[in-house]
Amino acid sequence: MNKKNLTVIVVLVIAVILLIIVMDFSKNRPGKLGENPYAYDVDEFVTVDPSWIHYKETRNIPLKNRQCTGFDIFENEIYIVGEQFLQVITTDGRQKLFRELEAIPTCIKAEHDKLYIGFERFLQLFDHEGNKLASWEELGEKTVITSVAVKGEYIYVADAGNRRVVIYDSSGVVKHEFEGKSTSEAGHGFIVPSPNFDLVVNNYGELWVVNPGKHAIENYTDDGEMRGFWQGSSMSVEGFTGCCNPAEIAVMEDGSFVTSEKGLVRIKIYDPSGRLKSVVAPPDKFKEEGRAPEVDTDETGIIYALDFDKMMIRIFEPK
Amino acid sequence: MMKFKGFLKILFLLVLILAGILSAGQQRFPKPEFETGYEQPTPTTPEPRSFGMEIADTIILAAVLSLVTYFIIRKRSRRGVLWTSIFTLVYFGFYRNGCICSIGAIQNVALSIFDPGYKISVTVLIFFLLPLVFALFFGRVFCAAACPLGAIQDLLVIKPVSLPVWVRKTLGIFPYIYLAMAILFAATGSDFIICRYDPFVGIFRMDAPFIMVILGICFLVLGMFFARPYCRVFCPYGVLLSWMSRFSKYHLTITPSECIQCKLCSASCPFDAIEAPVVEKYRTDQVLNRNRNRFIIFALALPLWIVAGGYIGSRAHIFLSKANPDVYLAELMIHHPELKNDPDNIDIQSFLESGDSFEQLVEKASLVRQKFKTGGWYFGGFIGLVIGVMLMNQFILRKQKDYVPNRADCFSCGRCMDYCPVEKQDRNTDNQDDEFVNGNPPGTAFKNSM
Repeated sequence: MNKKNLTVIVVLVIAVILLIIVMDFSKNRPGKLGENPYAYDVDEFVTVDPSWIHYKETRNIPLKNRQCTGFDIFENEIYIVGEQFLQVITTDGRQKLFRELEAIPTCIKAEHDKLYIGFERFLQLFDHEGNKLASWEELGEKTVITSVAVKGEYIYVADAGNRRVVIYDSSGVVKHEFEGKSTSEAGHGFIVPSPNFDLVVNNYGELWVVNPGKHAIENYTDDGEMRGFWQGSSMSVEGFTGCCNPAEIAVMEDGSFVTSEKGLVRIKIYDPSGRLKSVVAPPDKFKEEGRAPEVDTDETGIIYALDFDKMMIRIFEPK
Repeated sequence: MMKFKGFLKILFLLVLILAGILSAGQQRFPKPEFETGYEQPTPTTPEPRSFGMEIADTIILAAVLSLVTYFIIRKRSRRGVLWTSIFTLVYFGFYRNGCICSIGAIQNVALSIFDPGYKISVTVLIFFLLPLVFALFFGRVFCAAACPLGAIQDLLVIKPVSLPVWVRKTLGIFPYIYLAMAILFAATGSDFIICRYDPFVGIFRMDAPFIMVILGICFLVLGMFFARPYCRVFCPYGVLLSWMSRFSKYHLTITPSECIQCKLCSASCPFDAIEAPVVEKYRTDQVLNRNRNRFIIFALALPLWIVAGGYIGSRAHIFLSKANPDVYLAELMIHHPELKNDPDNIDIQSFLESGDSFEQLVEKASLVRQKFKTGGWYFGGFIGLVIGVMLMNQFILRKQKDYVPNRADCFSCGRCMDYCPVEKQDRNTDNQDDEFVNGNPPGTAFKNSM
């Protein structure tokens, strides 16, 4: 090939390059979002193999569009807290008590003698008639209380804002606090990207705390030492997914866990070692990308779910 | 010499150890686990570097530039330059994924100047300035072997052709246009076009949009016959380097002593960057007078070029400003209001969820368009100035007796040194002297060893 032809080819290729750039620039403006390359189709996980589903929804209790924030089941009564109110209803939906509160509560734990109601930064104690017994000191500026549990003299509070568990004695004095950190690889500490940080005490007196960023449920002593944990990250039905799941948990009589997830909303039951036992409610029962329902159970194994999106208590019984 | 080699070995070892220590960091959170066959797309930009690794990159850049300078100015070794460029290609290209690079840093610098809210990192600033400082003293040593984009093209030069001067001069305007556009788009916060149209970054990251793969292949194939096409026709940083290099005090020289005008160097340079001697018989009074007159005419026309360029640039501001995301979105929503209800239009849905009002968007877009109008004047004026000066340059006849590298265009690759017979002669003489110093008369070492 002579030099003249090569020159023509070189100039032509440069012209083509320029043309490609100009065309691409005109067509694909910066900031113009085309197809999302990170899109993840979760449709296939919305339906769950029916053989996993061992529960059916038997009834529900509408909550008259009140903005609820938490609930607890105690002796066949449902204790609900929401925008500056405390409400007690029976499991067949009859209202027993309604009291206004001075602030917006975030969670509630009902015990024989008292109700422990968590607000954003502090805890208040009430009797079963809704009379305030005590108001404990604020925990600090960044505090966001998301859950409360009780074992004898100890009251455990989950503080999502500071990623810690605070332990009070019955007089309201902070006895201890811990962040789930230890030198071992498992003890990374609580990873709480959003205010979904739950804890429970089971019938054996064991404290179990959700580590939502790790998709783990961890067992701690009262000194904050981790005794054990189980975890499972997976989009499939066996595990948890997203930034912070399980968002809510409850414990059954035999120590099994009822878990509730947000995003791909579903309620499941795991045995105490973390093996999936059954699905209570698959994602197609809930609003797409909805909030995680708060869950609780009674001694008969009935699962109660506070569905924040549909604003009702949904009751699931074994098939 | 032995001392220097020892120093190099220690330096290399230190860099390796430093890189090993710094790369031992771990991700705080494990990546989410997907057991369902979902393939995570590769991010379009590399993950952020730790501060320690950024420092390591800066040190490595400085070391590479120093090494190339040594090979060019002191050692006069093309082989040394070649091996350094291979290291650069591996480290800054394939390992660092072509980012950070001095070429793209132009945009960060421009944005930091025009947007007080944008804070440029020290590393980016050093990557931008260091090659320019080296160019000011030693010529374009960065292009020689410290630039991964240059290195990948340099290795693929197979049969370079020399294009006619008028073609080269015409193509030579493009880097200025690209530089001006890159600054305009960066300064208005619209786009980083240098990064967007980096043809080799997809090769370095083994992942690129289809169009960039085509572009990269075009450049590499083209580069087999038209050496370093990106550097010569596009590279905006090359413009800045050429400005600096013109004033370089210790630029590469083709011959270590006296030029014998063998023309071998001129034939060896694939970049047409060697200037031939000016034949004295052409420097007649008639020619000089004619050139002087034309030079004056073009010099007087220079302001016209600038104004004309500025006017065209400012008139183009509406078209250019469409590159800005806010302007684009505002126009889209004005012309297609029905798209507000289209859930599949991610642009509009993202905007609606941001909480900003449509009026705020239009106001922002108007401000950006005004910036483009002002910037268009500077952009066009600059291009007019470049064209005017290029035309004036046609009528400058330099007094030049030997073959010398054009300091603006020379990439300091060292090929010409390798071809220079004077260089080879000097080397042979040095070797013979070494043998004589070792106790052997010149040329008798082999015989004596028998």
